[in-house]
Amino acid sequence: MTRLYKYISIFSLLLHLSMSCWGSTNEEHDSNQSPLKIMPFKIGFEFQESSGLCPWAKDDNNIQKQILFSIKSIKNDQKLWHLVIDTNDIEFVTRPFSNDEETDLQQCIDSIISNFDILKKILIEQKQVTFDSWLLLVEQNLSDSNCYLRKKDRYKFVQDQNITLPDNHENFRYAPQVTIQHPLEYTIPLYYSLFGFESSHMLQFNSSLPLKNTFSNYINNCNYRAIQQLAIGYQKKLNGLVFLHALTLVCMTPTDDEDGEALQETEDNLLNYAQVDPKMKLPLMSRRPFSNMFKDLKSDKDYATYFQEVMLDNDGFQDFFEVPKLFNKTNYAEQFFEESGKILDLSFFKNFLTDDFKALFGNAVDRLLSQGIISTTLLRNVKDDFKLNEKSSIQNLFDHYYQLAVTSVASPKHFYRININNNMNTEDLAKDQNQLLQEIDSLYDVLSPPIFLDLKNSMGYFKNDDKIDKDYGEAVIEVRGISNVKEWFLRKCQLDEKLSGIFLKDPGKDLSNQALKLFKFLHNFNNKDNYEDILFGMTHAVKNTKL
Amino acid sequence: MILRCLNLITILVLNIYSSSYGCNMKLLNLEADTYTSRLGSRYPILEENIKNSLIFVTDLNLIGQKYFDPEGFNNLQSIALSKIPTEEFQQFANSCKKLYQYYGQENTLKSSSVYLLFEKVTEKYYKDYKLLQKLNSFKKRNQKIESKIGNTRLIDTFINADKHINAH
Repeated sequence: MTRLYKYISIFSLLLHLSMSCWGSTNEEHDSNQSPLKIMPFKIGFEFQESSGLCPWAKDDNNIQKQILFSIKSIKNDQKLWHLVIDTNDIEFVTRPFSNDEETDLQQCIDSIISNFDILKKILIEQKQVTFDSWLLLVEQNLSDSNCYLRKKDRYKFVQDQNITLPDNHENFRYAPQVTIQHPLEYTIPLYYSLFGFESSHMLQFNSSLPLKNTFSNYINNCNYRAIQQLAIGYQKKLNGLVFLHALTLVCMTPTDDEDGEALQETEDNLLNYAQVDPKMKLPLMSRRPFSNMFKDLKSDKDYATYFQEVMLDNDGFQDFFEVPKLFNKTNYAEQFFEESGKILDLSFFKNFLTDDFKALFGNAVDRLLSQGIISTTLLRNVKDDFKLNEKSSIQNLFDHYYQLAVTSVASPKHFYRININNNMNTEDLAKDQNQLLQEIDSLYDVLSPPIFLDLKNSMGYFKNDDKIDKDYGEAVIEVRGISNVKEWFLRKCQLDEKLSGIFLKDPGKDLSNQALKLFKFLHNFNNKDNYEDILFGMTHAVKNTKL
Repeated sequence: MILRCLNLITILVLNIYSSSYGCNMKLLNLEADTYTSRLGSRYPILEENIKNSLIFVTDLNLIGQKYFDPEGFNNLQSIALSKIPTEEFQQFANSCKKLYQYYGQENTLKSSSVYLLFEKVTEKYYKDYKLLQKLNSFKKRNQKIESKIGNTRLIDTFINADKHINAH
């Protein structure tokens, strides 16, 4: 009987929501009278081929992420894509394409497919090929496709190097990412629509939803009118910003506060992904500082008070992930390199750690420091006399990290950095511990990037507002888990649901179709049918969150 | 304390954090992420999918001897199933076992790849599963929280959050 009642309630809710005003929340807009405007957006793609085709590049920091060559369109002389090396992989990176550049995007993706096909063919036949030999064939191929190639200065470092097919290799695989620029008011419906509504991401998403407890209560009581009201709130710029900010905090909060687990996590991340910074924990990563986005809104609200009020009404944020309590134990790290690009041995840092910590975790500490890695877990365990400045200790800074993360969005003050650069002598560093950490004035919040990371870190990287075309919105989001888009999105795009988990991963011919379907989905995103589905999906996700 | 010990024992027994040379770890993780994500949304995983994922072993001579031991695979599977008793994981484990036996000693490149993939997916999905368990007990404890409704002023502020915004 209870179950029957539940189904009747849900059906009834669906019926009511299908007549709702979700999606028509621009106050000046009446959705029944005229079509909704197109969501302005830009989208860029990154395809990292993950077979490790350039093993010689792995520990050479001087060529990492540097543009080696780019491919431009003859038609408008605009760049389509460029090639970089990431760890030991080659990576194709497209420029961002705006909502009216579908044809250019198609040309770009087709060009990536055909030029990677050339490489695959040679590798399968010959096992290896130099960059120069590959590019000779690329240039011939480009002459038929209205594109041309431009080599960059750094290319000379790789021109004679081999691209090598590993033994036993049969298939190629991309680790894809997309970066989407869009107005903040679309944030909540857009990302629920990509990853909803039963995926493992829903636990983090729901725990980042402002006023989630109230929303959940309205759903339980089938209070349609109130649900519609909150749905209007979920399409506000400020609430989109709160959601993104809260999601970053949730994902960076450890589920286990043991130091040993944290050290193990850093070692595992180095081994498995050759990365130790926090971005790999984030399904969505803001490439603009939260403080810059808030500044753009010119809101008269006290951000910190508002954030804490609307997130106090979320039991996932407060009591399940315990973000305000546990964020201070967030674990991430930075890896340092010598000028030559080789890893810098930071073993001297062990002298600054407490004896208790060294006694418990000495071996793990040795391994990390010898790999040039300093993590927040190491910094939280320095001796008491290791001061951040004359007044405060490092422990004190970490104790207040959550509060700083919230207050610094509206009032940025300081950033904290590790003062090691690639031409420093580790013997000198070891002598003067007071020079090792620095407090500097900052115009940005303390998560952009998170404190103690390199200022060039991709979290909150786009600081120069002159380079952001705000006509396409305030948010620039790197969607790191794009392969895991879910069934609703795939059905909406008329793509096979089997692509969930492997979306954009296969470098074959269908890549172009998948990329363009994503583009079209964004282009047509702002329509009433979508919003009705998404609102119903959100109610389902909030009501039935399971992993 | 008991729970912590159990976790530690599980990690030790599953040998979850063993590193493996002769294997492209990035690729292994990329493939394992596919199945962890599919298990999370209860999407069916076909044996054919798993076969197409066995692309990460680069040198058979360098990967650990344990990956050639059928007894070890069976032990891992039993322990994993006792720790993660969900239907979808059981189906995935059965598919892996079938493939491990199918490739057997004739194609050790593929059978050891199945072992590595199953081990990595178990490691990743077990973290998600533990979170699910924590969520279930949390929900039982906190049923009353959801009965609260935010105050009217806050809801009104929330709905009109952009009222005084001047952005475009």
